[in-house]
Amino acid sequence: MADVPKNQGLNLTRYMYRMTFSKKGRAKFISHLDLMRAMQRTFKRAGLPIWYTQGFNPHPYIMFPLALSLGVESEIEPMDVALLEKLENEEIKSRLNMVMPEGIRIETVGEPVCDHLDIYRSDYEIIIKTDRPPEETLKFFSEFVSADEIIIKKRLKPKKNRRETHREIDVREYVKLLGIEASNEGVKINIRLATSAGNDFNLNYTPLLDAFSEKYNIDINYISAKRTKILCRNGENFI
Amino acid sequence: MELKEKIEQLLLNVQKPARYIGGEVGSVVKDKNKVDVRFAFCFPDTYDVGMSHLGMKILYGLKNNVENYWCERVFAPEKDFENVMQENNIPLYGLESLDPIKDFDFIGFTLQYELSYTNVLNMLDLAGLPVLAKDRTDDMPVVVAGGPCACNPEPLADFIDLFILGEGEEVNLELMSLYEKMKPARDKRPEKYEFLRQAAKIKGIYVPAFYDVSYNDDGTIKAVTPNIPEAPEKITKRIIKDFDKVYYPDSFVVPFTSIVHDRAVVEVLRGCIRGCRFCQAGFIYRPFREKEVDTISRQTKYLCEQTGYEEVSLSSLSTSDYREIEMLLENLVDYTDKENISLSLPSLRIDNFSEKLLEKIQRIRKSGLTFAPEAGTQRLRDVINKNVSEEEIMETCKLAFLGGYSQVKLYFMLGLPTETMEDIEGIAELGKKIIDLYYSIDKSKRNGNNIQISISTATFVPKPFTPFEFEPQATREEISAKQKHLLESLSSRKIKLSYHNQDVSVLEAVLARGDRRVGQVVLRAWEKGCVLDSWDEYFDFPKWQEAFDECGIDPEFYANRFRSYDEILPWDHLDYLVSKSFFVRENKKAHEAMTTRNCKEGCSGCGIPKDCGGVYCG
Ligand code: SF4
Repeated sequence: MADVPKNQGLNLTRYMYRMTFSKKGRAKFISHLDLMRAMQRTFKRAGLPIWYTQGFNPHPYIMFPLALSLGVESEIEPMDVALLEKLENEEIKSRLNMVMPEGIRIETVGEPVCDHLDIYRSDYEIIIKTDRPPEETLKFFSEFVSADEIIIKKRLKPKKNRRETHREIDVREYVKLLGIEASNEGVKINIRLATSAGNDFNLNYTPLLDAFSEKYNIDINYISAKRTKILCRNGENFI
Repeated sequence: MELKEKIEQLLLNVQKPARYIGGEVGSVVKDKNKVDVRFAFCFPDTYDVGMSHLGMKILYGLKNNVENYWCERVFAPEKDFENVMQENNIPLYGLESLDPIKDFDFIGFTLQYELSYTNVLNMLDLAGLPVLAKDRTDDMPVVVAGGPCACNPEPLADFIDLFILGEGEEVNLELMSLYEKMKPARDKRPEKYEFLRQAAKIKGIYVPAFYDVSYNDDGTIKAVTPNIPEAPEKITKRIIKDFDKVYYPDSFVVPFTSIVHDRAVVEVLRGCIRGCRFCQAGFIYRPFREKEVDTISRQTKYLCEQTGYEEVSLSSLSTSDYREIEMLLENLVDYTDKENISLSLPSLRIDNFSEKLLEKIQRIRKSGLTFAPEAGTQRLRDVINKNVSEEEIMETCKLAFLGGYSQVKLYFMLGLPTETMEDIEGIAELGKKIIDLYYSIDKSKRNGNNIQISISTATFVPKPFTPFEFEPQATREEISAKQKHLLESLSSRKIKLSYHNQDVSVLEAVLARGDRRVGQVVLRAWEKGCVLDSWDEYFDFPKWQEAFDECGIDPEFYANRFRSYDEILPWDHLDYLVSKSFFVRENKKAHEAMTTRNCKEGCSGCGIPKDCGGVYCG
C-alpha cells in the first residue's frame, strides 16, 4: 500500500538535529502550517531522508517549537528534525541551503541541547512609523514601556453567539525595553518579550503596539518586525 | 513608499498572503535591465486555481528558458485583497518582480473556461489599463489570449489585441521574437498597429480587429472578412508535430499555500482518440500524439527531484489509451516506490487492464472510483458516441469492488440531443444495478457493507468545434422537468444526487457560442460588478440578466437555437483542422444513434492532415 510511507517499520534508528533558520523578505509571509510542507519538500530536494513517526498515521518528523506570526521576520527560528542518516552538520546545512525557498536559510545545525520548555524570552527588532515625528514617538514609547504598569487588551475567546471580548492585563513583568532610536526611517525598538513553547505567558508585540497607539492616540502606519534572539530561563541562548 | 514595501504592509491584513508575494521555489527572477521582452502570464482566476494549471507551467518555463525573455505569473486577487489594492492604488503586478504589469511588453491570458471572461476584464482594469483594445495606446502592453476557449474568441474580440490558436510552445516564442525585433530600443515599444499587422502573418495568430463581421436580418452572421491584406481568410491552429521532443519544464513553481492540484504533473499524451460528440477537448486537441516511455520517465524524475513533491500525476485526456501503458507504469512505479512518492493517474479507465497491472495501480493509490457514462441508456450513449457499455461499467465495478473500493462516482449530462425521459430513468437504473452488483459479491471479498454512489449531473452545454455545435441547449423548463423526474426515479438512499447550477450552464452556453455582440454583455456585466463568476458565492445571474436586457441581446438566440448546417458560425473563420463536413457527418450520425469508431480502430477522416504527428492519422 502506497498510502503508508515505505521507509517505515524497520527504521528505528534516527538522528536528532536541532537547526535554526532565518526567515526574511518575502518568506515572512509563509504561514506556520505552510512552512511545514515547504520544509518537507526542501529536505526531499536536498536528498535528506526524514524519519517518519511510527504508528497508525506516520508523518515526517519535523517540528517547530515556536510559532512565528505571519509577516514577522526572524534570524533564529528553531526547528527539530529526525533524519535517517548521520551526516556532518555542515553538509546538512549546505545541502539544504542550496534548495531553500528565497528568504529562508539554515543558520546552524547541531544536536538539541535545551528543552523546549526552557524557552522564556524572545528579542525583537521592531521598526514603526507613525503620524508623529519620530522623536516624539520615541519619547512616548519609552515612557509607555517604562511605566509601572503596562496595560494591554488581551483578546478572549468569544463564547458561542457572543461578541468578542477583551480583558485588560498588566504585562509589566513580561516586557523589557533593550534599546530605542529614532531616525528618518522611523523608530527602531529593541525589545524583550515573554515567549513560551508551553503554556506559560506568551506576549506578542501586536497588542503592545495597539495599547500604545490607543493610550497616546498615535496612529501607527507602518510596522516591520524581526525576531533576533530566543533565550532560556537561565538567560542563555536557546540551542 | 516603494510598491513592494506598500504591498508587504497591506498583506498583513489579507487571507493567505503568501499567494500575493511570489518567492516560491522554482519561480524565476531575472535582472530586468538584461531582459528584452517581459510577459505577464495572467490566469483569470485566483492563485489556488491558476497555480494548478499545467499549460501555464509549460509556457512559463518555455519563455523563461530564453535568457532575455522574462515571464511572470499573475492571478486574480480574491475580493479581500482586491479591495485593499483598490483602496491603496496598488496596480496589478507580476509575482516575480512585483512590478506593475502595465509596464510589461505583453499581457497574456489563458482562457480555460467561459466564466472567467469577466475576470479578464477585471484584471486589465486592476492593471490600470482600458479594457477595450481600441482604447489602449502604443505605450501600453500588447494583450494576447490563448487556451481552449480561444477557439471561439469572438465574445472577447473587443478586449484582446490578438489570439493565439492551438498549442503554444512554438508560436509564443515566434511572437515574442517578432516583438523583440520590432522594438526600436530596449525601453521602447514597437508601434502597436504595425506589430499586429506583422503578427497576423504568423500561423495561428488571429487579430480580431483585422476582420469585419456583418450580419443578416435574422441576426445570424452574413460574413467575416479580413480588412487588411496581411490577415488570412482562415486562421489555422498550431500543432506540435514532434510531441515527444516538445519543451517540457524540468521544474515547477512550488507554492507555499495549498492549491487545488499540488503535485508534479507529467504530460504523457496529447489529443484523444475517442471522439465523444459533446467533448470539445476531444476535437480541438487532435490528433493523438504520445511521448516515449523514456521521455516520460526522465521528465518525472527531473520534476520530482527539482520540486520535492511527494506526489506525481500523469496528465492526459485518457491515460489508458497510451499504447505502452503497462511498460510505462512498471517503469514509473519502480522509481516512485523507491523515492517514496505517490503516483496518481486521474484519467485512467481501468476496464482493459490485466490483473497484474491492477494490482500495481492499487499499490499506487486508492482514490474513489469515477465513471462518466454521461448518459443513462445505451441508445443515448451511442448518440453521443461515448463508447462505454453497461457490461464494461459493471465489469470494472466488479473488479474495483473486489479490489476494495466501495465508493462510486458517476457523472451524467442532462439535456443531451434526442434525450427522452426513458434515458433519464436509465441513470437511476444504472445506479441501482451497481448497488445490486456490490451486494451480490461475497461479504468476505468486498470492503465493508456500505456502498455509496454519488450521481452528479451537469446540464449539457453545446460547444464550438464539436458535432453538437449546431444543437440547441435544453431550456430551463426542460432541464428542471428532467431533474425532477430523475429525483423521483431514484429509489435507494445509497445514491446521492447533485446538479449543476442552471444559470451557470445557460451563461456558459451563450458565451461558448457567442459572437462579437455578446462582448457588450460581458462588458456590461463586469461594469455591474460581475467577477469570479465561476465561484458560487459570487455568481450573480440577475446582474447578467440585466446586462443582457440593457444590451438588447437575447440569450436564447445563442443558447437555445438550432443552427442549420450552412449557417456561418462565429468561429467558422478559425480552422482547428477537424473539418466542418466531419462535424456535419457526425451530427447526422448522432441523430441516427450511430457510433463512430475511435482513431485506434480506424481513421474516420476527420480532416486532420497526415503530417501533424498523429499516431493513427493517415
Ligand atoms: S485523421 Fe483519422 S486518425 Fe487522425 S485524428 Fe482524425 S479521425 Fe483520428
